[in-house]
Amino acid sequence: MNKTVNFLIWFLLFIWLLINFAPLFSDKFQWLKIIDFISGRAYSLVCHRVDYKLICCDDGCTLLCARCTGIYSGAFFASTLSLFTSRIISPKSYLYYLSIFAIVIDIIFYNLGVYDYNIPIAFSTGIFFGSLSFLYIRNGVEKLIQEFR
Amino acid sequence: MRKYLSTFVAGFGAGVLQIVPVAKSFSCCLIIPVAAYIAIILDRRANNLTGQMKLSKGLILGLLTGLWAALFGSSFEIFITLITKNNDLVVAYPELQKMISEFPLASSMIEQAHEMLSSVVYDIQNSGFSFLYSFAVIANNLVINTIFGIIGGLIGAQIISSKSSNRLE
Repeated sequence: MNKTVNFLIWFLLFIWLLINFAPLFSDKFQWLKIIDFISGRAYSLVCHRVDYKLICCDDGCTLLCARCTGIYSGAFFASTLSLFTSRIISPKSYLYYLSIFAIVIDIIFYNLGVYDYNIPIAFSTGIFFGSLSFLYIRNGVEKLIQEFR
Repeated sequence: MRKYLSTFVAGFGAGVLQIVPVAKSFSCCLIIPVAAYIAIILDRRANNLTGQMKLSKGLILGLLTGLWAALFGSSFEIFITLITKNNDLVVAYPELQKMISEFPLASSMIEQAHEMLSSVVYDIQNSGFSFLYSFAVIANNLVINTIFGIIGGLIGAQIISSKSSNRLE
């Protein structure tokens, strides 16, 4: 894929994650509260943002839940790697099903009370799913460009 | 219309799920991509298609599913607000007021934000309809659902293509 398009996607994901983590520092930087409020409305469209599912520290919590933060972090990780390689990596579909299965099993287990909502588990299942999703999207954009040519 | 009936069906399903509170919190941002994938499968079954699939078709099916989901999801949300005269915004209003007051902005701007928010909440509580709220819901759903619909369409088309190429091998 065109290096500029690759970089643009990487940059957008970077900004998206940066705003997501901004509330963790909003006590130190007061102006971040306005960004939190405005972007919080936008982030609530893609995530339920239930309080106990957010990643929190003393100063505040992320705008997205642990799983969504994992998904976008995974996508960002795969995007960073793709900046350094022009090779097209096609993920196996069974791996993708496995990543969805891991999320579904986690959701079922904590809803059945097998264990309480676990931020590290939610985050890691999200990373797995997010990185594979990114590879699919990247390949998709690549093939689309070829189709339109 | 018949050509894209599958997107209508999947979009309607996604629109309904979007407003069901439990399903909403379960699925996060997965509803629309999964709906787009289902729309592709339905389309292929309806037209007896096998073999590789063009990604541009997946993109169009995903986009249309997202648009239908936005239309239905927004309509249901506005309709439920109209009947119940209550919604998430009304519930979160006291907290939002507190939050706005803490903004490091000029007091006149904070006052304006308070006025706008209270007028929206007043309209919803009295008539069940607020133009500003409805506009925000429709605009938000249109943007987000179409993006996730396209993503679902792109991923779905690739998975289906890889499946059919595996079968051929």
